[in-house]
Amino acid sequence: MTLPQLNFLAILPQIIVTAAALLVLIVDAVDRRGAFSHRALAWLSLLGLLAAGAAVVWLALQGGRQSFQDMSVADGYSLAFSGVILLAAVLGVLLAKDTVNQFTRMPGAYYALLLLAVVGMMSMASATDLIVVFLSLEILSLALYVLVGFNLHEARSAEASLKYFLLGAFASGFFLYGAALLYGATGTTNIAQIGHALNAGGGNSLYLYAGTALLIVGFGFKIAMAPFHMWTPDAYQGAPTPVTGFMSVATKVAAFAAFMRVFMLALPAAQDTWSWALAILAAVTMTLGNLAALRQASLKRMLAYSSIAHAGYALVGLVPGTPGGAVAVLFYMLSYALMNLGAFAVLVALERRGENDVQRGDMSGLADRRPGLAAAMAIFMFALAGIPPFVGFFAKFFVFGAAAEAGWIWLVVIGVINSVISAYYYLSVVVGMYFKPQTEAAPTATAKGRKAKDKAAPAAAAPAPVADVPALATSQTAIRLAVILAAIGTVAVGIYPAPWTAYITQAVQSIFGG
Amino acid sequence: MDIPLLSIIVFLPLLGSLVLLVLRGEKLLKSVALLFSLVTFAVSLVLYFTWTAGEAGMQFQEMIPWYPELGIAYHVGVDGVSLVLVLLTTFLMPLVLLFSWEGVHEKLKAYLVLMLLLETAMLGVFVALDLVLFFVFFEASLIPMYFLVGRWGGPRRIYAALKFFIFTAFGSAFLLAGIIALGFLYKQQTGELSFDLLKLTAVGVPLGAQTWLFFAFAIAFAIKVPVFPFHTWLPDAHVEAPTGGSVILAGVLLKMGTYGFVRFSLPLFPEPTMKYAPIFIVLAIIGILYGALVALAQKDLKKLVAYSSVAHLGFVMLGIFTLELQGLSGAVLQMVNHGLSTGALFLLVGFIYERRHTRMLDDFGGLWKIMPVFAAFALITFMSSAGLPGLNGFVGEFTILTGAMKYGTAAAVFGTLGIILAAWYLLWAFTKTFHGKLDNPANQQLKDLNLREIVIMVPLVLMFLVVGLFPNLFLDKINPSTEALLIQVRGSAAVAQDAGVAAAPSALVEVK
Repeated sequence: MTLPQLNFLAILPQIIVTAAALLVLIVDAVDRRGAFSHRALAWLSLLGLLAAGAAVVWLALQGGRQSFQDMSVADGYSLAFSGVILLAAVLGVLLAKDTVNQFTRMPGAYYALLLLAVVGMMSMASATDLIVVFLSLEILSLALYVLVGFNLHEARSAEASLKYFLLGAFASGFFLYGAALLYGATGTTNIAQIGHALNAGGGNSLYLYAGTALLIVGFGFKIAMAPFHMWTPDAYQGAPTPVTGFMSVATKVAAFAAFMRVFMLALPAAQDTWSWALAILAAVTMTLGNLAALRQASLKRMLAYSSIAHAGYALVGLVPGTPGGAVAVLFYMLSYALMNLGAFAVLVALERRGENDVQRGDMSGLADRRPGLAAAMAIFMFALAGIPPFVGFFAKFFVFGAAAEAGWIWLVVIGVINSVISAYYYLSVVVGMYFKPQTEAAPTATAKGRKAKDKAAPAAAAPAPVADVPALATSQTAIRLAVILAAIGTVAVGIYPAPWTAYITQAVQSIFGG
Repeated sequence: MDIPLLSIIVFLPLLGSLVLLVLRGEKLLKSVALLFSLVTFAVSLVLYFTWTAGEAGMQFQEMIPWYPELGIAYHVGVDGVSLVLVLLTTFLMPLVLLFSWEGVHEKLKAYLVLMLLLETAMLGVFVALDLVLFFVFFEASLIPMYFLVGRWGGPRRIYAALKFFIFTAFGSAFLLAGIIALGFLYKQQTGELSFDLLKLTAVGVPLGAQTWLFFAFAIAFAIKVPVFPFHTWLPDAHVEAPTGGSVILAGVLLKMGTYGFVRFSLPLFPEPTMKYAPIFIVLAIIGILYGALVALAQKDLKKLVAYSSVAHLGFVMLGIFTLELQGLSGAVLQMVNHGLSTGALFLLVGFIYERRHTRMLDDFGGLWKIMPVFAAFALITFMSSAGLPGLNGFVGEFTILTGAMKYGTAAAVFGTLGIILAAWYLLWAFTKTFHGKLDNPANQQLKDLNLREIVIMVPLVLMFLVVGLFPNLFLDKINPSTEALLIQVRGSAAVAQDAGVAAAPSALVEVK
């Protein structure tokens, strides 16, 4: 018996990020006297992420490699998704850098968990075996369950964490059950081999369809697809905002990577069925997310519902099951990472101490107070609404185009109508920032409320003994950097897409052909 | 292809807006913005004079792949129809900026930046030959206008801005779905994905898909024009918009809709265009009569002008869907005329509003005595809008009605009725404002137009006369292109017959 071929280089990015996570933990543990500030931990995390990014680029230049006996792979596809995940993580760390010590006393644990979640996500994108998909799913989920509950001033944060955990555990069970059924049908958990077995006419069709349905539930939960989206608004609202921004993007990216790989490589035999199922689910998800977002006063909650809607749009790209659709989904993930994290970065910049929420009313007159921030937010809102020339428009064009090519015109029509509905609530943010004056009475009233809440909050780490409630972030530099990066990306990738789309197309072709 | 003339014209204002971002000081900002708009106008004049007359096809084409995976290209070019609209846009913009010289103080920099961004978007719409590129500019023009109305508008500006945006975006959704479907239908036919108008028309859209695609496009354009009954956003947007915004909205933005019909609906969907033309003729006539009647009932001068827009664009729609050469050429010319006349009307309303901060007709009367220069400009503009022979409006309306006559006598009769109504409400408004006694004490101290305001009005009045007396300066450029369009729609035989009489109406005017 030969030794199993363990090609560690293929998981180099995951190894680097794991090492960074451990290093953060060790530094935090050793440093009892606080010689290193929490900022040093942020820098360390950033360094680890950037190194992993370099490894991703290096691997991409090398060409694909397999490892662990074809259980994990570093191909163009997984590397492209990993790149987007790392981008989201970098922005996520930048958002936390100057706010983390406001909502927790354990910044070391925070960054370590965030990095471990990244490891799980990248592994999920690289997984070529259902077992590895499941393991990665658990790694990232466990880290996120804790991160969601990290805000110690907010009872809602703990509640959100518990909700997310209970429902997430259920979803994991569904996923595992589905994987087991597919194993029962084909005798293998390897994604490619399942596909071969099913294409050859093997397998019990009852197992196949039941397994497919259960996998849809499992993945659907992670991407926040209706009707498995119930956790999303509560978890997103309760979690510390930097976590919300990170997870709303990165979890979707990872889940979509595995979702597409499994469905397009393992389950083409059932494609007629799952295409229809996903088309209906996509239509429901978009519509439900957008209609619910219309009514939200809390911006975090609004963006939570908007993220459900965006899961629906991205799902449209998966419906046809074509390489063109996969390109569309991948491009969608890239653009969603830029515009959505940008929007969350603006929210973080606006948050105040002792508050975990920015209300729509808080945006009034922002253009006069902070013109740069308002302009960036306007760009993100227009991009999320799918207005050209921002990247969000082209992302939607890609997915709707892929669906149209396969003849799903009705789905495209539902998609574009949804875009109009969504324009209304995204624009209402712009209306507040630019067209409404800052309300005089409201801030004082809420400021009083905030102060009262500060006093009531037990063990408030650093209660603010100041007249006005100060911003949550102790310094705006890192957040500003995140906003600028995201804004530039949102504009530039839309106007000059050639390098990105070329790489993405190549990456998708490397595994799906076409 | 030596100099990318079109790209220079389209992106000069964008460059200007970027330059403005780093500048400070009111005077400098205003001067630089005006300079950029003037240079853009100058370059578009170069375009006009180097343009080869008598050719029907697209000239000055430029093509760069943009999203090669999706077959989207930066493909621009102008034919006679685009050419006159590009000129209209670049001509109006300096006047609007000059108007804003005094009126706008608050957030001046943002205002100017948005104006120039808007100019780039509008010019892009008129030169784009790739459907996706067109859509990008079409949608992008919403953003600056939305801010202009919402930020610098009147009391109900937020409602008006949002209504404007949502109405247009709703129509655009169908347009986008239609564009996507067109590209992939082309791929089914040829194996290559493309959204290039010239390629799509060369291959032809499959008959079975034409009808629903035609209506998908038509909804978007009909809302933009606006065709009755999609017009309800227009009075709100116009009344609330700042004067500069109104001028651009009426002068140029509305033409995006009619231009869309001419540029895309006609050549891409000839079958349904012919089949459903009667529907649009009827809607156009309803628009003409309804707009005129509602205008008659207005107490607010600006609202009156806004409803007159609905009526005038009804004429343009009537001309387009007669599918006769005179009708179509007249419609294109009338787009320019409406831009000039209605633009001028909004400017006049703006002048008086800046002085009195009211636009109610009842507040005025007898202004001729104290503002003779203003009254003179107003008179000629009202006459131009009403279609007095010798001025621009007459040529356009007469040509359209000639086309309508060939289409059906009833269409021409109702159209003529619209002209009579237009004369009625315009003269009525003129009488209420300028004649009678100067009985409102608040009006006693009104000052006449100053030099800057005269400088704004003079080019417009000159253009009334130029178009009115020498319409062939434009019709010569428009006719070959519209003829080619009609050949695409109706087949060559039917159009060749018309071509002989094409120049007749304009010749008639010149004799006068």
